[in-house]
Amino acid sequence: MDIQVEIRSLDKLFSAYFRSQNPRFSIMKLTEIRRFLPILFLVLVAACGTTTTETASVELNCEADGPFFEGVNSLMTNYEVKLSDIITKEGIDASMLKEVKLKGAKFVLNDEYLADGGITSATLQIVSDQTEMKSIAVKNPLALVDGAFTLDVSEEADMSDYFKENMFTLVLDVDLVEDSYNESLSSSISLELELTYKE
Amino acid sequence: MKLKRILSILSMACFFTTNIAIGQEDTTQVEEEDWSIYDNLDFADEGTKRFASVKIKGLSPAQLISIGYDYQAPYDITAGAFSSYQEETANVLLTHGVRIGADVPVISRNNLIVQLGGQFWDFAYDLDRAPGSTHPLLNSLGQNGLKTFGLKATVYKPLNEFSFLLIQANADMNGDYSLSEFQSLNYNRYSAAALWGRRPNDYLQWGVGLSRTYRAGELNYIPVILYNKTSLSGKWGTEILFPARGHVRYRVNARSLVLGGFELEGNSYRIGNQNMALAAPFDELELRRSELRFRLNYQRQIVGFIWMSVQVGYRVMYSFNVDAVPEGKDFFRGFFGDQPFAMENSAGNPLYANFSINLVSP
Amino acid sequence: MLGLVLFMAFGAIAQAEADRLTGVWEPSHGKAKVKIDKIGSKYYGRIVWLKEPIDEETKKPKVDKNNPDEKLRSTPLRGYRILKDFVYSDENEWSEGSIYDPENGNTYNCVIKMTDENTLDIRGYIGISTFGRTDVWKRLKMPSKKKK
Repeated sequence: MDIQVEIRSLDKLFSAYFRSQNPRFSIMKLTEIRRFLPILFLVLVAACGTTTTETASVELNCEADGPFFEGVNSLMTNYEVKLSDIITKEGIDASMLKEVKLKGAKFVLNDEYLADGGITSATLQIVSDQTEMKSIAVKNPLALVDGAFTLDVSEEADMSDYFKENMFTLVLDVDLVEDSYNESLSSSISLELELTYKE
Repeated sequence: MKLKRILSILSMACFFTTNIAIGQEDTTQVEEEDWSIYDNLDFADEGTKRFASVKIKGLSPAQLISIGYDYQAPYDITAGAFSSYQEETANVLLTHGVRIGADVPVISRNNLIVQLGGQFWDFAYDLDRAPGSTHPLLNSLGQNGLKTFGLKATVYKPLNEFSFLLIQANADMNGDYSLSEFQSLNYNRYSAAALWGRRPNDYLQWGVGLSRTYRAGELNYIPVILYNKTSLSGKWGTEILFPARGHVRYRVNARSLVLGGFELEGNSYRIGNQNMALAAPFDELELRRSELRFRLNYQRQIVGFIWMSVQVGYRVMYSFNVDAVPEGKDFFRGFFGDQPFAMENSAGNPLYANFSINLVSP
Repeated sequence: MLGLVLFMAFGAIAQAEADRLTGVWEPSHGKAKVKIDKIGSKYYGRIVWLKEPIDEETKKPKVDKNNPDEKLRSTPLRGYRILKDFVYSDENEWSEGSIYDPENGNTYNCVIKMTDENTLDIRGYIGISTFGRTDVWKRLKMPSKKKK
């Protein structure tokens, strides 16, 4: 509905109400009230707001220094949050973020030999200074498809608290079958996110 | 001179910042895991002792706080003849009441657990009596009902990794008193149990001991047997503390389970002669009330550590007789005593239900 | 300037005190060993050894089968972080963390007190500290690293 039409409708409503309450209601006071109607209407609209959901991809690189031994080894990276790089809509800041769900997670190890049968499971966790650590994806046993591992994502985990901060840490725990003398190990991680924000 | 001073301060700063850099090192980046090195590690200190855990796998969660409601379907009570009163029968339309309990670990460590708790049970009797019925017992039950207010202390002391002692003591105030006027502490009833047990592994816990108990309605000294067992799959198990209770347990999943079995609950209740209807020697009476409840109990997590419990079953009145207990000084009859009852009563056996919300410690 | 240097010195000492928590520890039941490490500014403990690593039913390495989130139930227990988010809060105390019990999938609030260099009081509780239980963990001596 056109804003002007809506304000005129509200105007009629208020006028009718005040006249019914007090037939001798001053014309002057009614005029004053009418002056604030457009502002009142905009305030109401702003309070309600609209919610938008969009998807985004984030690519990160986790790494760790070797040597690596049989068992769980942790690769980590710090991610500096810049919502403007993730959300297409301009002007969205952290306070408007309602929910961030993980819809997909994949990783590619930079060591093809290790990737092919050298790791049995992987767990992905997220943590920041202000927010507790949360597991967001896992795969056990792992299956290499087209050079990448796809993890099962937690549908319940909401990552919005981490995206509201300046930085968070991603921890990829990989379970090695045997020792590896790599000087370092890294993995590129792709996260498919679904972000919901209030405009 | 000034430059020298600045240089000396800067060199001190470098020394300390180096230490800070070391102190803030993120250890996960440097040390990686080799599982095999953890197999045969020694303790940094000598002589560390392990102790038998109070639980085994799969047990139903312990209730820290419980708020519940108990209900019994209609049945008949026959109050026996005594003094100048004739035998009378009344229909109990409803026996119901609130049950509140708390059991808080005040000390909870691996070598000692001390729990203090209390409970309040209320039994209200809604009677349908014949016109002109005057029996004092029926008067008391109908007007005042029965209340239990109890305190208890439990001590679990593991002696080593496989054996333990379990000691419990209770003090109960039972009677037809009202909440605005408690009865004298002289009428408190005290019970206790002591048990020695073994916990050979995570799936079995057993013990034997002795108890002084009022569960059968009157004072008795009986042996107790503890037997908690869980199958390797975790699905089936038993939770037995004979003769107080015994259940078979089926765990549906991590958040719900079903128990099937029985519980013997009872105590000795002072009939307080509220309206001075009774003259000596019948003005100091105690109702020896004991119920054997056969039931199915479904327990389920609601959210977090809040669980609900629903019981449905069949209540058998094991004892409902009355003794004269002058000045509250109880006596011991046991299984073989022949002291006569002041009043011999009987009660029917109805279905019952119990619902509670509990704060648990799994 | 001197004040700044002293401030940095005390910071280093405090940090070293906080890092005493790191190491390998054994809970009183002896069925697991937990290694406490640091990620960022917080401390985490993961299971590095299990007395019974194989699940009796599945005959495979144990996983987190009681996790409330179904999607995370295949997470291996060996390597699982059961202690999370501890912050050094006071003399010999680390708080604001949680402890996870894989036996039943419950997470408890937790506070860690170091009673001596080789002993921890790990208190897990529900809501308030009164409804909780303290377990004593002992430090294990780590052998020097050997390359195969």
